[in-house]
This record gives sequence, structure tokens and C-alpha cells, in this order.
Amino acid sequence: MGNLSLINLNNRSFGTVVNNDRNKNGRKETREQEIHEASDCIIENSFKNRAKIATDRFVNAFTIYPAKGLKGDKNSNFYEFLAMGTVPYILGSAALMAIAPIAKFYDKHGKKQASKYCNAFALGVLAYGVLKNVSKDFIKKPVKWVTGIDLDLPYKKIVRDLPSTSDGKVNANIEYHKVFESVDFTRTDLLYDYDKYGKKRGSYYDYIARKNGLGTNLNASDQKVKPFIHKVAVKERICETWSSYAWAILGVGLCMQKSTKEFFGLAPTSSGVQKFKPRNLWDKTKKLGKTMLESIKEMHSKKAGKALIYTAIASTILGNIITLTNNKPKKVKDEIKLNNKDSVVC
Amino acid sequence: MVNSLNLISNKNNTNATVSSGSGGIKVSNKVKPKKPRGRLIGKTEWVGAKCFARDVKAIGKGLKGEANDYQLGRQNDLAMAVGSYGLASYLSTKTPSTKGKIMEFVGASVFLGMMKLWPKVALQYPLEARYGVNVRQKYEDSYGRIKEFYQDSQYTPWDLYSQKDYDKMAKKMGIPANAKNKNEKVQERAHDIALKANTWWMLTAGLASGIGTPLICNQLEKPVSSMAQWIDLTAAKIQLNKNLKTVDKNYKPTHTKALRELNSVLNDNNNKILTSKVVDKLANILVLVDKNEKADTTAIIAMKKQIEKLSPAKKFDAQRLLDYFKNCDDKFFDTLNLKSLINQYNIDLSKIDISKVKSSDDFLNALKNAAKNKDYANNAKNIDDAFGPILKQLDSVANVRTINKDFKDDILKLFNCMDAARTNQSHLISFLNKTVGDVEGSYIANQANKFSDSFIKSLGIKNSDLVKAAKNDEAAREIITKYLKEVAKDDKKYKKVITTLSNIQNNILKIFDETLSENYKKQVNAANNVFGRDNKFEIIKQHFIGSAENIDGSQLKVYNSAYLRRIEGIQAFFAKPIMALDVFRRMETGELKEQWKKLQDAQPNLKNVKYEDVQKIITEMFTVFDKTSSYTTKHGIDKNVLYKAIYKLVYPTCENGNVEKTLQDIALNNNKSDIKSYKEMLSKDTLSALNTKKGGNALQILSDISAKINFWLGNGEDVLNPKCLTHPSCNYKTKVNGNILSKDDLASQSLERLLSDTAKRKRNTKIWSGVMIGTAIATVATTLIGLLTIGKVPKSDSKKTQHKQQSSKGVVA
Repeated sequence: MGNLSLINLNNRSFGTVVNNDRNKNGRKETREQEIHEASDCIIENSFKNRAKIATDRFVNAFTIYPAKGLKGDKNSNFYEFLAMGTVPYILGSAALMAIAPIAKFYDKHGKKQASKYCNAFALGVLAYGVLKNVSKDFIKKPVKWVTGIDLDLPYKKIVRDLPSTSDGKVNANIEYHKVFESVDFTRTDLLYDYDKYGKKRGSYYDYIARKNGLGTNLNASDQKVKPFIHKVAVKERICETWSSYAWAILGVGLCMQKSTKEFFGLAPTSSGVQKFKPRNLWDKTKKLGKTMLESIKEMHSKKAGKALIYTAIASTILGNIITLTNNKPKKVKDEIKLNNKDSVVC
Repeated sequence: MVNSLNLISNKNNTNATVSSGSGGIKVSNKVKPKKPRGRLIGKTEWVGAKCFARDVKAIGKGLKGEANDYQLGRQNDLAMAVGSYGLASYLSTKTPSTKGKIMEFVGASVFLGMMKLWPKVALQYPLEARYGVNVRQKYEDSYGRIKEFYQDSQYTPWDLYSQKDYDKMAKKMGIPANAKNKNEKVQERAHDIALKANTWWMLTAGLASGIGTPLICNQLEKPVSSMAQWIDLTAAKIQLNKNLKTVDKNYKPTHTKALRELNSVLNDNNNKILTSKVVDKLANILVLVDKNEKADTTAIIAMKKQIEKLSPAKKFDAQRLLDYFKNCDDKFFDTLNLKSLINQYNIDLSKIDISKVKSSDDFLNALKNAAKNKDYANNAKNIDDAFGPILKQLDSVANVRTINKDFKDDILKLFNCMDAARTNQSHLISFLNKTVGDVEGSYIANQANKFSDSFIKSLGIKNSDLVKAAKNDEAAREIITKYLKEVAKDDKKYKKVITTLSNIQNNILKIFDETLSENYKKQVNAANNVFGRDNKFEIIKQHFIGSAENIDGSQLKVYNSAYLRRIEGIQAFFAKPIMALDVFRRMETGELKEQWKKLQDAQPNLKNVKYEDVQKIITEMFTVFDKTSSYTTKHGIDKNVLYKAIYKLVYPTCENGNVEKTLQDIALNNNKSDIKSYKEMLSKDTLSALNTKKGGNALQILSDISAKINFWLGNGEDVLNPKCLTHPSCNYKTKVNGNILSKDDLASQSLERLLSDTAKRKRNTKIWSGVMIGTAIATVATTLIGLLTIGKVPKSDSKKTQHKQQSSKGVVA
């Protein structure tokens, strides 16, 4: 009787325990709890949760998912394939950055210079990655503030494996997706029970409708809100894609300025060979910050640099404008004009 | 997960239609759902352009909020490509050389290409050959969207494969043709293979793209380099033939910022007087020098003089003088305060009528008239004596040049002329930089590298020796001497080396031939001669083009000599190895010994000099500082005589007639030397190698260089430049920096320096290539291991199929 557990959370999975999740801990659960555990549910979009989700994906991408893929596990799915997409980025960047230490063995004389180059290169790679991801928030956050839609809202998905155990239990894995990651199959069903804005069912839709002037006290706010969300999500996706690359390039460009090269000791400074070597991390960070500001100024002094800087900024601003305007449905003329003379009421 | 559909319909079918008859709607056929219209994309079909067009259209849709997941997903690839090229464009603006600019785009393209190419080469082709499964198969779905067949293992459109396809795959996979559920088995294996291949792709793509891109770009550098060279040369020639600016009525200046500054100085209402300060300001603006460069002082001096010449005449400004007198509280003349002096004589300045005062004398008289106390009782100096000298000192205050309209017009016209001259000069500088400039990427720099590489290669220097040579100059010296001697000993090798080197030299000559030189000179003349035919701007005109008799110190000379000196320098750079080889050859064949004997017989002073010592001195001449003088001091030989003899052997030149004038003409006026006397001293093997049809020009160059060395390092009191000229009566000054080792100079880089620089350059490339190739091999090895494991049927497979049947009971949907 007690073994009517519906699912076996696969203990091979690195699924971290996230808030809003019930701890099994060996106690007997009620049917309700089991059903709850077996369903997808929205997770609060806090920093802690985001960090846990990111770690989960990252570690799995390097361990479990490749292992499953290499074995030909029939439960490998698209999510795992996409998650593994970070592997080439990380390995490739690491490979290029690791060339310097390798070259050290061949050329003791040149190793100092080589390591400088690789440090500079590493900064460029880092700038690319950081800016590419951070710039997406430049659009997402204003969208959240204005429309109330948090496009990064994560949810926990229980993915059941194909049945393979003889006792009827089904192995399941936890995947972390975002409610709005697909525009064709948005998990709007999960939003009905999302109770951040009220206990009533569908309070989320009421809230969004109210916030965006789609109507208050509507009977079926979800009918009006769903197309609205769809539009916002599509526009935001395309704007964030393009603007993220604009910012990523800006980041790389900043690291190729003379000031940055001087920071790494790769270019002669106007005061001769760089004598000031920051000792500790704080000094180094300060100097790096100063160098970045100088790089921005240096970039801005040339036409091409100006173009890059303004393109990035313009892409974000435009992205925000496009995403936040023109989302309301066109007013349908649903008034019936009654001309009292002509109509006859039987 | 694995759909075993047996439908094999992949053709475009029409739907059943509902037709309407005469009476009502008659359903002639049952209404069936539309058949799917997907199809596989063929191997040779290229859908890139169609996809690209669709992606661009999808941007518009996306911005309206109407795109779907597929379209949005594809935007990432498009944005990445655009971003990569955008970055390449930006970085190319920061790269100075044309080759660098092209390489930025090549790098971006190679990177994007590698991402597409790696899975194809590493996984698709091998796996298809072995198992018949194209793991990178693409298909087009019913909506016209192009997707990867095996990308999502839960949504694989198996119905797109025809039975023929399945049969082919089954054969390659080793599944018997009459097996039960053959198609299903094929699907399972294909899925398995594709999944593993995708995983390996993810694991190796980072390394492959990251390492493969630099390796490929490294190989592409050579062709890109030659392409860049060609572009540069063509651009340079166009640049040279560009129409130069001349100053006409509707001239529009290019230095607009400087023009604004000039106008603000000229129209400054606070300063209508042309003081020396204003002259300085104007001169600094008018020389139109880039803010990063320092103006040549001669230009500024000439400009100041020119402005002075144009300045309006001095006029007596009585008002100014009066104002000065009125505000002279702090003015002292010989410790006498002017104000107190005025008070002492009780001069009422308001009584002075300006209109009547036309000169200093008038002013003095006016002062006298306005003085109430004509004699200063205590001092008994009259006004003339008191104020006369003061007025003389105040001459610059009283007599001023006012900036009038004529002056302004002249200055503006001068500005236009200077603007034209500097703009023209910038074209010339651009030409010089691209062709003969001492900058990376210039034609001559590239040819010099090519020459050095050929030289080292044709000498056959081993890698281990190159490594040693890169360490320090002494090691390089030993190595180069060793190899020169070796080459000199081998007949065939010697001829080959000389021919190779002279071929490169001739290629340069073809490009930098007479017509180019003449064209350049013509353009330099036209560029600088923009100051009009009248003599208004004579002073500055002379600074630019000199006078009819003498162009020394003028810009014309500067530009002409810049070009010619660089050509000369590169010719000397090429000549030195050939000359060195020739000398070593002569040593080897004994010709040198004979030649030395003849000189020794003719010159009794040289009787005690041993041939071995001479040989040593000559060998070192090409690699180290000249040690001849220390030798002569040690052995008590007349230094001049020995030098003359040695130079006769190494840098022979014509000795007939007015040697001084001949050499001067060759060195300063670019006359051609007489190659006969040069030929006499050369080894016959060298002559035969150079005397091929192509070699004719090289011989002339060598002879010219030899003569120039004689001129530049000729007679003088400087010990570094001893008397080496053969004719006893020659006596002229040497060039100031005639250091035999300075690179830009005629005798150019020492061979040991050439070797060590080249060795260092080659060595760096080798290390990086080695590391990259090593990593690439590791990546490829990993992939091979992957390939070998893909497709192997695991033993537990049979057990799994049994399980499947059993566990179908307790599945929770």
C-alpha cells in the first residue's frame, strides 16, 4: 500500500532541491503530495534559485548528459542536447586560453609574453560571455517592470523516462525550463495556479490585464492576456537576440583597445614600461575598472568605435521600445448600430 | 519514441476535394486530412540562400510579434554571423596593414565555416560511409521549415525515408535483408548512431573550432598576403596618379578645423593688431601639421617670415599711444614711473587732439602743448629730453600693423595653398608607406622578409642551427659564416642561390622601375608647386620647392630623397648577401688570392700583410664591425693603403677618369655606373649565374651599390670612415652616418643580424604551430575514438527488448 509511489526521482540526476519542492526524506507521503511532486510547477525567480538552476544545467551538461548521449540512452532528449551546447563554448575558450601554459614548455623566454597575451585573450572571452548574457536583462527587466511579465520565470519539469523497470515505477528526471521559453507552446497552464499576485485561480492573468490596461474585473482575463503575452514574448526574444550580440561585440572591442593592452603589459605606455604592478586583487580590480573606462573613451574617440557603442545602446533602447509598445489587441468594433426606425422587434 | 510507421508517402499529394453539384453539396470523395508534404534535403542541395532570405524576413515578423519558435531559434545563427562580421569590420579599422584587414574577415569566415564543416568532416562522412546513416541529414517539413532530421530524438520524421533508403542503410549496418521489422531495427540503430554522433559533436566542437580556425588561418596567410600586396600596389599606383589639388577660385579646403581656428584668430575683435604673438599663432596654424607630429622648425621659421612679408605696413596709431599714456601706472622707464613723470610736468592728456597727431614727433609736441609745467624745476629736463627716449622705446606700441582686409585675404589664400600642399603630400605619403615605407605590410618590407626567408632556405640552414642563431648574435655569426663557406664550395648550390636571390631582386626592379620613379618625381613636383606663379608667397614656396638653382632643404628634396633612399636601401639589403657569397666563392676558387697578390705586388706597403689575415678581415666585414684599423695598428701597416686594397677586392668600382665626379654623380644624381670594372673583379661563377637574361639588371644594381659604398664611406677624417677610395687624389667629405651596420644605410644590415632576426621570426611561428597542431591531433584522435565506438551494438540490447514487453503493464501515462 505504501509503495504506490508514482515516480522514482532518478537519483542519478543531479537535480538540486529547490524551494517549493517537498522533501521526501523517507517519510510516507500522501497521494496529494505525490501528485504534486509528479507535476510541473513554477519556481520563484530569485537569485538563489537561478544560481542553483544554472549550476544544475552546467554540471549536467558536462557529466550526465554526455554520458547518456555516448551510451546511446534512448531517454536522451532535446533538452539535454541544448544544455550540452555550452560545452563547446567552454572547452573551446579554455583550449585557446590554455595555449600559453603549454607553450611555456617550449619557450621559456617567451612564456611571460605568451601568458600576457593569453590573459588579454581570456579577458576578451570573458567580456563576450558576460556581456552577451547581461545585455539580455537590459530588455527583460524593463519589460518586467512595465508589463509585469517576467520572461525568465522558471519552472520545474518532471520528465518521465521510458518505462524500463519491472516494478512499474517510472524513472523521472528534473529539467528546469522557463515558462516563456517557447512562444508556440508557452506553459500558460502553469500560470493559472501561480499565486504570486493573489490566491484566486488565474490571478496572474488578472494582474497582467490590470497592469497593462487590458481591463479590470474581466470574466476571462486570460483570453485577453494570452495574445498579449505572446506578442511581448516574441518581440522580446528577437530584440534580445540581436542586442546581445551587439553588446558582446562591444565587449570584445573594448578589450582590444590600447588601454587594455597596456593593462596587460602588451603595449608600451606613454610613461615607458608599465612599472605599477597592482599587488592585490582589489588594486587589480580598481585598475581594471579604470582601464575599462579609458578603453571606452578611447573607443569613443574614433568613428568606428562610436558606431559600435551607439549601436549597442540603440539596440537595447529600440528593443525596449518595440517590446513595450503596440501589444494591445486592436479594438474590434463590436457595437451594433441600431437604427430605431428600421429595426423591428418581434 | 521510435515510431514504426510503415507509410512511405513522401510525395506531394493533392487533397480530396469537395465538389458542389447542381442541386446541393455533393461529397464525391471522403474528406481526408492533408497528407504531409515533407521531404529530405538532398546531399548536393544547397538551401543556405533560401534559409537566409527567410531568416531576414522573419526579423520583420518577429518585430511585429508574429514569429514562431522555429524562426526565433534561427535568429541566433543569423545574429552570430552578422555579429562576427561586424566585429571583423571593427577590428579591421584598428589594423594598419591591408593584409591584417583582410585576415580579420578571413578569420571570421573560417570560424563560422569550421562550425559547419567540423561535424560534416569528422562525423557525417565517416559515419555515412560506414553505416549509411547521414547524421546531419536535413529535411523540409510541411510548412517549408528546414530542420535537422536527428536533432530531436523524440520527433524524428521516419516517414520521409523511402523503403530503398531503409534497405540501403540496413545493408550497411549489417542487418539481414529478410530480418523481421527490419525498418524498425534500422531506425533504432540510426537513432543510436545519430545520438552518439551529436554528443561527440558537442564535446569536440569547441576544441575543433577553437584550434582549427587558427591553424587554417595560418595557412591562409600566405595567399592573403600576396593578395594584399597586389591590392596595396594597385592602390598605391592609383594614389600616385590621383589628380592633385590646385588652388583655384572655388577651392574647398579639407582642413576645416584648422580653418576655423585661423578665422577665429583673424577675426578676434580683441586683437586687431598684428603682434609677434599673433604671428606665432598664425604660423603654427598655417603649417598644417598633424597634431601627433611635430612641425619641422624650418617650416615654422619660413612661415613666420612669410607672414611678416604679407603683413600690412606699420602705421602710427596715435590713439593707442595715448591710451598707453593714460594707463601707465605700472610702467617704468629707467626706474622712472611714467605716470609720475606725466604728473610732474602736469600734462593734461585730455587736451591732446588725436586727429592732429600723425607721428611720434607730433605726439611729443602735443605733450609739450598739453604740459602745464613746461620746466620741471627740480630736474630742469625739458620735455624733449624726458619723453623723447621713452617715445622711442614705445615705438612698437605706437607703430602697429593693423589686421586689415587685404591681410586677411592673403592669409586665407595662403591657407588654401598650404591646405592643397599638405593634402597632396598626404597622398604621396600614403603611396610611400604602401610601397617603400618602413612599416609592416609595405611592399618592400614584405619583399625584404621574402628575401631573407629565401636566403636562409637556399643556404639550407638546419632547424637546430636556426634555433641557435635565434639566441644571440655571436652564434648567428658563426653559423652564417659556416653556411656561406659551404655554399661557396658547392658549384650547383652556389649557382642556385645566386639565381634565386637575383630573381627576387629583379622582381623588385620590375615594380620600381624608371617610369614609376619619373612619375613619382613629377607628382612630387606638382604636389608642392601650388603656391601660384606670382611671387606673393615666395618665401614659403621656396621652402616647398626650393629655388631654380638649389632644391636642398626643400620639401621637394625631402620627398624625392625619401623614395630614392629607401629604394637604395633595399637594393643594398639585397646586394649584400650576393656580394658576400661572391667574395666567399672567390676565396674558395682561389681567385681572391690571385687578385690580392696583384694588389700586393703593386703596393710595396702591403708586403708584410699575410693573405690569411686579409681573408679573416674580409670575412668579418660582412658580419661584424670593421676591425681593419685595429689590425693595421697592431701590425704597423698603413691603414689607408690596406683599406684601399681591401675595398678594391670587395667593392670594386671604376677607377678611370675623374673618379670623384663619377662617384658623386652615381650617388647623388642616380647615374648608372660602368659595370665593366665591376665585372672584372667578380667570380666567374657569379657572373654566369647573374648573366642569364633576367640577371642583367642585378649586375647593374650591384655595380651601382658598390660605387655608392665607395662614395659614402669614402675619404674623410672620421676613423669610422677611413680613406678607402682607390684614386689617390680623391678628397671629399663623407656622409655623416656612414655606419656600415645601420640598416637603413647603404651597406645595410649585417648578415648575422639578418640571420638572427629571420631565425627568431621563424621560430616563433614554429612554436605556435607546433602547439596548435598538437592540440588538433589530440582533438582528431578523440573524435576517432568516438567514431569507433559509435555504432557498436551493445550486448545488453537483447535484454532490453525483453524488458520492454514485460514492463508495459505498470506504465503511468
